[in-house]
Amino acid sequence: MAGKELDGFHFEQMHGKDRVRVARVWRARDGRHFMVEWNVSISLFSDCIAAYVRDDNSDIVATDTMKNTVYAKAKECTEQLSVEDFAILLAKHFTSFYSQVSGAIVKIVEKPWERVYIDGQPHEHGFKLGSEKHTVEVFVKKSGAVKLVSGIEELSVLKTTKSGFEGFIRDKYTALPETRERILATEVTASWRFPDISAVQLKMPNLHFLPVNISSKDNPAIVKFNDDVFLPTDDPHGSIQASLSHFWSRM
Amino acid sequence: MNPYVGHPNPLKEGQELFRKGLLSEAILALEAEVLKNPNNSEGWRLLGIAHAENDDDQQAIAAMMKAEEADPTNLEVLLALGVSHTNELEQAAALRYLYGWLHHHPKYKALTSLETPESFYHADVARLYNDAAEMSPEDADVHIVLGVLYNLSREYDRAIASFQTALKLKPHDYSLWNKLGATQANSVQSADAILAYQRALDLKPNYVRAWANMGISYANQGMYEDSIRYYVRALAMNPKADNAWQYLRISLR
Repeated sequence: MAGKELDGFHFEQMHGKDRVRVARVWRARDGRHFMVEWNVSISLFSDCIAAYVRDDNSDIVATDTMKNTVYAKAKECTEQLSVEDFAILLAKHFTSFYSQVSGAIVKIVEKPWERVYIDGQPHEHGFKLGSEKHTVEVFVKKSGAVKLVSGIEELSVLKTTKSGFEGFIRDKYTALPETRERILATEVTASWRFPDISAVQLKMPNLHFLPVNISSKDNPAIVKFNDDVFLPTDDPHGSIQASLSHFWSRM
Repeated sequence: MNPYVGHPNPLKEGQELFRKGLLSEAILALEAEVLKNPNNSEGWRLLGIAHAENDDDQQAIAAMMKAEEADPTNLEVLLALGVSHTNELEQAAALRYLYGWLHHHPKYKALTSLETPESFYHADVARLYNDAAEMSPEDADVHIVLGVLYNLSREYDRAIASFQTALKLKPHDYSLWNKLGATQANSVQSADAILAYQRALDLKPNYVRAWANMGISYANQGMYEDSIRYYVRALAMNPKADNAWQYLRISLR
């Protein structure tokens, strides 16, 4: 966002509300209920330099107002909508309702509530918490331009075999033996530009499951590892990130 | 301060600047024109075209929608709106405008129904256009719209075939060469895309969009040094080309 020149300094600012929690229930005519739980964070780019230099708040949208807006807009959404659509709706509201606001970033994390199944049948209003969270980050400009990044986080996956690690650099600091048999576990954070999927970013920490070998002077094989007993660890963990992008050519 | 505000005939000035390939200057003149004559659909239309060629679909759409307001049956406007919305991946809007092209065309309106439906299925619109193409295989414009339609549905081979048919009929249409190139680029045929963009630039050397697209196709082949040169050319002509700045940043990394 363009900043302002202020006495020879370049000035940029944004302000908003983080972690506004809201849940919305929609009751269908057939008796089924649908629900979502969202954690909403808002940042507005606005023309409010007066508040910083002149004690003048007349251009400031109160963050409390932003919080209220989340609930008001959720109420207005009488039809079920996706987290992406709600984020866009909210961001478009802020950039159109306030003349001072030139851009809005709305980030939402959707908690993975899933309908329960009893005897193979979906329950009308029973839910349980599932696995990964669905995330979205939307940037809307007053001109109407929308940039959307969708994603998932906290998707934990694991395989117990057919993973290895070998052929890496061995130097005077290297102690790790090569292996062709190990547990591979990670918690995936993925995000992608939407709707064109023109850029994908993946973050996958290596959740290490270390082989357990315990020996003493009298008993050299209290526990002798045979791809069976592991010590799961948190820290330190390997951290691997990658992104791929492809630009859309325009006719 | 727009130097063309107060000019006696900013539309004529804008048309001349556009003809000379000075897109950013033409835009200023045309903005002065529409300020003076807000209902001049030709002023809005040319402004929209200039923005699109300057690689700004958002501004192009804004101007083109004003043109459509002033003249809802203008076929060039409807096509341009269809193309820009396709570029912005807004399928529903693109289909509406591309259907509108057929619906308002004196020769093909009979193929469409009397009422305009609420929403459009891609397959239905594509079928109507194929009927039109059968009716008039020599009409390049029908093939052009078909090409845009197939881009929407990512049927790139069909889109390429349609644009190539159109090019046989209109080989000097620089915008058509760019459409072919963009389609080839999006279907990972970067080398072919570059050849098409080169033809577009031979015909219109200051075609900012084609310069930016060239950069993309070099970058997609991993030739980042080359891509930078093309992005910089585009930005020299239009410093406001946000997309080109973004691509340049990535190539520089």
